[in-house]
Amino acid sequence: MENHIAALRKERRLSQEELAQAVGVSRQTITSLEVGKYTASLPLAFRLARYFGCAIEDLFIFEEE
Amino acid sequence: MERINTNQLKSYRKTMIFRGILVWVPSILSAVSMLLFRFAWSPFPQRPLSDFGSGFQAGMVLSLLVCSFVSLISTILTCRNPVKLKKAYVEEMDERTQLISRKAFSAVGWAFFLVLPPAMLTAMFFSSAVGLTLLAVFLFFLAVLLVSLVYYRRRL
Repeated sequence: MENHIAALRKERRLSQEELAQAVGVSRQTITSLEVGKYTASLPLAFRLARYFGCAIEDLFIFEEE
Repeated sequence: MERINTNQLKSYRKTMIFRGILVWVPSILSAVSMLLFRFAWSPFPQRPLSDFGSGFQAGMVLSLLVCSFVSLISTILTCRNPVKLKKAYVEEMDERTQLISRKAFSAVGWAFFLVLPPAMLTAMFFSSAVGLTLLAVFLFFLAVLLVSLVYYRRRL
């Protein structure tokens, strides 16, 4: 699933490690999310959205097949 | 912001210590069983082992004890260092890591169920004892699978 995590993170000048610590996951998880290899669980999606101060829909791009 | 609180780390430390101790159980049981069934002073009847069997048994027990010792030292070092403990906690609780573990275990399960039946049938031609042991192992894991399926269907 595509998302805007990398863009929002860079906008705030955060490293992957800092974002990972802020939302309680590993740096590798943030990397996988950013490149779209891994889809976040609902709790993590909420944590990320809350951290960036936006709605989940603004962070993740859901395309129905 | 998701912060890992002290209680979570305390609870995780306890879990790690428990695991560190739990690892010793099979090692100690193996060592005790080897001592009981192998040496002349034992009250149990002795069964002579071949040189290979004897060396294999001693090697297994020794390697289990060494692994348990290394695991215990690693656990103690992690528990004493708050930074390492927090890192270990994040790594273990990380949802991607958990998904990877689940998928890996699932793959092992599939491989197991694919490989065991032909292995069991092949073994039957050479030794019925080995074939029956493999059959028992297969049936045991099949039972665990069925119980797990029923349990998780009710739980989730």
